[in-house]
Amino acid sequence: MRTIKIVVNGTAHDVEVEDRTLLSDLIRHDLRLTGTHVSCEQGVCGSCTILLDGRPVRSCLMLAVQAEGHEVETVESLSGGEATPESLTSLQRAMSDQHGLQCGFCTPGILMSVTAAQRDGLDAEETIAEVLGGHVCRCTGYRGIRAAIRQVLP
Amino acid sequence: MSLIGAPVNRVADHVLLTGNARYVDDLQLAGMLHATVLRAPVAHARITAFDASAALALDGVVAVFGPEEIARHTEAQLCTWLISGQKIVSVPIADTVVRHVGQPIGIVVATSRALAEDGAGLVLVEYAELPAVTGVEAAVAPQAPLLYPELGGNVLADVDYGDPREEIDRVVAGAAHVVERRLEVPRAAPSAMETRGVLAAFEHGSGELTMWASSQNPHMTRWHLARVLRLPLHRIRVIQPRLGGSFGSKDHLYQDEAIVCLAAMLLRRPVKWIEDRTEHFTATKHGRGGVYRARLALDADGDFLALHADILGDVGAFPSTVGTGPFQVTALMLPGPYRYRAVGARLVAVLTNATPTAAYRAYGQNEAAWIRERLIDEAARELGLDPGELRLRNLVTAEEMPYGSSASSRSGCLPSAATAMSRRWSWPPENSNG
Repeated sequence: MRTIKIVVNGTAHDVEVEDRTLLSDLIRHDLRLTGTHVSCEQGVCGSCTILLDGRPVRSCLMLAVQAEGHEVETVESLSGGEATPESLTSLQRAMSDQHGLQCGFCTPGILMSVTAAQRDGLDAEETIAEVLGGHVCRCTGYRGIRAAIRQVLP
Repeated sequence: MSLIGAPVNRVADHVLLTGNARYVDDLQLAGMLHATVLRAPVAHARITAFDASAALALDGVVAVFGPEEIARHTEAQLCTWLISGQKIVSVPIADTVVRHVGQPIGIVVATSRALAEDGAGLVLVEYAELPAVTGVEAAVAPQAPLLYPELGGNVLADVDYGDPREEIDRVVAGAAHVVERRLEVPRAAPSAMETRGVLAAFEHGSGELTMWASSQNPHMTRWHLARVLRLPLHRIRVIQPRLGGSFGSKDHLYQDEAIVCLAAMLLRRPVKWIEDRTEHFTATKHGRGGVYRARLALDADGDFLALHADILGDVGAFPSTVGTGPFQVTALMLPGPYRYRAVGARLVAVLTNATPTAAYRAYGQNEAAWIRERLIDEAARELGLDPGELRLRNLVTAEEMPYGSSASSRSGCLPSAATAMSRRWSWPPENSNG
């Protein structure tokens, strides 16, 4: 066990972790931020995507100890901790408007990747081709998600 | 304001979009333990030894239960959707005979998931391997290895549907054209984004069991649990939290889920088990899996005379609770919206050394549609006819309604609907799945 310092959604934490603990497990089970989901646990599906120092990464492919000293953003940060229809970001709103989700399990990872693309100034078609390709959805298909991206990105 | 034709936002999207939705792995209870399920790495074998002593010596491992102990504490699970003459009507929760890779043979319970997995690596299981058979045609071939030697074969049931076979054969024999094909529909792993998972808590004293499960059918799960765990129905509560997809695959009580509940009862501690993706491919029931030898008979003008399919349905290692249900639906839905003089199907349900099959996305209907429509396309090609015209010619009309087949709609709008569809959508479709 070792203690690491990590900033998550603007809050500094000192947490004790095993060397083998995944960043996804630290976020979900120790910090209880369960909006980050784990589906394949091998980096393929994109469900566990978080932002590390602003860049999208798979939290299931990182050890928690590798995140020491870094800043993490999860889906819970997007609407400032609020959870009402009125508090949604334009991207969250668009996903609902365009029926870009059903079960919602893959959704947080997609939101984080597209949020990073939005900040990086990518346009809708680049985001659909380069970013959405890193995410698997099994309920909805991708039409609604693409429409949501086109609703918010240029 | 009318909702019909208007865009309507779903009422709980904001919960899902803000990370506040609670799926089963998001739940924690005080004193909760974590489980890993031991699974067979071989397709067909007899377990000759099960030794958990090294695992139990590991700090953090609380308990290990093997197949004999689990079987002692449980009743066999009933198959609830039966087919006439089905030779297996219940399935043990744990067995010392392994019949598919991924079959649950035990459980390790520890103070963390990682420690449970460490413990699982220390359980010594010896297998005396037996010859295995996969694929329905191989399984019904002479000299095929037998999953259940006492049955004398790998056929679980053999049932005819529709008109008498002799009548269908007679109509086919007198037809101007017969199109016959061997068609195969492979198995599918459902792979919902959220794998299966259970959190079970047993209240000592009251004897009440609460199970949170990634399930699409909590009521039937409860009913099966009562028998399997020898509990009165009214002492069991099954709660379905948010569900991360299912597609039919979470329509059952699985043996491993019952074993997690049993562990919570025996240990008097809450126990959580979350399936991982690797487990999912062999542990969660597959969809589909069949070989279909099907024929369509037509007269010289292109009128359909008969349709028949010999279905070899891949049941897998044992019948799931819904058993041959999807294959039965294929047989029943085969006629579709067309008229024939004789129509039917024969379903031979076959046991193989592979993951059991069960419900998956439209439950056998897709297979029926594909077999039928594929034969129609092949017939159009062979006869030099337009496939759309051939279909219109044979659709049941309003005057023929109600029609005694799976197309027994009373509206009789089929030909006009087909014409309207062909005008509205190009064929082949430009984009069938966004």
